[in-house]
Amino acid sequence: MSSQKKTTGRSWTWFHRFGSPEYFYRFAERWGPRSAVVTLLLFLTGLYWGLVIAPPDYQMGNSYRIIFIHVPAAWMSMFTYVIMAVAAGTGLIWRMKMGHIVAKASAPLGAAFTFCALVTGSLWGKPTWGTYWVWDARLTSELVLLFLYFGYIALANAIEDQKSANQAAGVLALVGLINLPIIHYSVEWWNTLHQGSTVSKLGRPSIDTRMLIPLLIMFAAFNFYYVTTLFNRVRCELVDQERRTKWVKELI
Amino acid sequence: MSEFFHMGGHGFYIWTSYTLVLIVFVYNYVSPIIKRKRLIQQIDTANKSAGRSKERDYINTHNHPE
Repeated sequence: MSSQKKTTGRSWTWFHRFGSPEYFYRFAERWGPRSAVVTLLLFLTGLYWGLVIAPPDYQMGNSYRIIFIHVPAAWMSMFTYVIMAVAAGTGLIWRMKMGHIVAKASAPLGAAFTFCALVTGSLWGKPTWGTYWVWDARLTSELVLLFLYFGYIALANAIEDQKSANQAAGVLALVGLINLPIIHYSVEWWNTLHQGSTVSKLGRPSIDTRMLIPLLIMFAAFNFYYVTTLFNRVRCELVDQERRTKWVKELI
Repeated sequence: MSEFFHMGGHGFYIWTSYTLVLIVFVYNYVSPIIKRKRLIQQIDTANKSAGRSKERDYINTHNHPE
């Protein structure tokens, strides 16, 4: 009985350790720069492969090369939102400060990914569809996602008291989750201009392998970029919020 | 080489996309690092001036030169 308790206890210790601001800071300080190196290498490989080695598309010509930043950015815009909402939820339910800090650090990154997805999509739309923008379901719901991030950032920063700011922004993050399935299924639910998914069709992705490999490398690059910049933002936020604690004073 | 930048007539769309993403990504990487360094400096000077005023208080309360 007691040994069973111990093992379940041990499996949760990582969760509690990352709940400690000091531990999280040290972890980010140690692994952030390494993640930055991996990010850079992945980007260089992915870009060279995507822009130079991969052949042009038989229908779209070279404009399809925007896919190597557009699709990972769009994917990350949603992935970051899930992380943000889960982190905010953890902060709300278990009153874990680190949850709110991770959520707050994710919001500007998510907004950046969403912005990149919208702009690159628009620049891809012009030569492919003949227009920069249409009020199609996919595009509109992605724009709503950008405004959700802006709303979160505004709420988290506008309220003076840190605890009320975390609560209000956290609730907004959770409510905004409704938008994610709408974005994902928009291309299936409504007959729109935006094409369906190319990669995630399990088993048979409708994309040539010579194009799929650089796309997957760019996916990895975007994920490592997210981790690297998340660590940077978390460190910044921790120094700001924990400035009166002993460990921050020792840092200085 | 110029063919590479031309991209079969799609150069404008491709290079604008890639440049914008590059700017956004570099900014996002650099800005929190600069902000943290500035914060640490601010906190450091605030702590030092707080330390000095404590010293001054101590001297003021313990020395009474008529």
